[in-house]
Amino acid sequence: MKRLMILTTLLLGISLAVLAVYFINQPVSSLNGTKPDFALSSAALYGKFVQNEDSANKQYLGKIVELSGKVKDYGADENGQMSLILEGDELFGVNCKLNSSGKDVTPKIQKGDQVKVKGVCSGKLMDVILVNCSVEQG
Amino acid sequence: MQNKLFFVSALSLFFLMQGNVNGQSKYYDKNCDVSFYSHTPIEDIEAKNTSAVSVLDVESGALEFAVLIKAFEFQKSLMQEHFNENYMESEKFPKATFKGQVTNISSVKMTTDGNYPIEITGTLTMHGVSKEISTTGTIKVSGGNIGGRSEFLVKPEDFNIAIPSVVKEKIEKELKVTVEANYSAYTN
Repeated sequence: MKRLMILTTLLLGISLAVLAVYFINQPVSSLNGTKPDFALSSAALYGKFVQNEDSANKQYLGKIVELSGKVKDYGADENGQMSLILEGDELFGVNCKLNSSGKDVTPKIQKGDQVKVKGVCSGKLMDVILVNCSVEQG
Repeated sequence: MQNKLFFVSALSLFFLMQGNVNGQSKYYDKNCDVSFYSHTPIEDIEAKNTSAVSVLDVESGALEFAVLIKAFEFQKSLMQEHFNENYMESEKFPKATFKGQVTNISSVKMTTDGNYPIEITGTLTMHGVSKEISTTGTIKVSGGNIGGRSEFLVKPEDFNIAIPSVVKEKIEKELKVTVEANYSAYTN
């Protein structure tokens, strides 16, 4: 009986340790299948940041946002990370930094296409920035 | 043309709001890479941000950067969460900025290809704390393109970033920050 208890405790301890290591090392996950906190147009999100950045930060910072909008521009940076710029105003817009799935999607996208993109809102510099983005609908 | 003028005005306004960049001959990059790295025997920590904004005035040497803290991406989800919530408090302090000067900009020949060593001084502001820093870097002129690169060390404690004792062994006392920009010219 005592042996059984020791064995059970040991197994429980090992299981908890494995779970803890698994949890600590979880990679940043793709947002595929995750329900967005907000869904709006890219121009509307950009407009909110232009109108009142502090208030937009409070509402959207770190939140999952699904944007619909026209592609103003797209391209890859020096590291091969793809990004889509969705319409905002005449000059700037929403810079959506695509996750690793971006390479498969972007060859099909052209300027002027209407797309749906989901990502995490990081705030605004010139453009509003979304990271870990996936294209929901090309 | 009208669009271009408006763009230049908006860009200048953006940096005037952040601080001040004087003069002509400004170059900008709105997709700069900023990364930081920490190595300890227990764990390596690396985060990348590819959406920082920078303006370099090649005449006066004025140099500015702005970066969104929430746009740093980590390999591990829990690291990213701790970085934002516990250390950088990114909802309270969403941006970090650098405003400074390339002090030897006159030694960089913008019309001659080459790698030019540069010296930089200025104010780094993050987590609500501003601190003067000095570092070195390189400006690469190649076929009319201008690139910049610099590395410097940052001590979290200098910016009131408290690292709990339980994870102190996992994080270096000074983190290596690397900044890379590929500038495009605009004129006003």
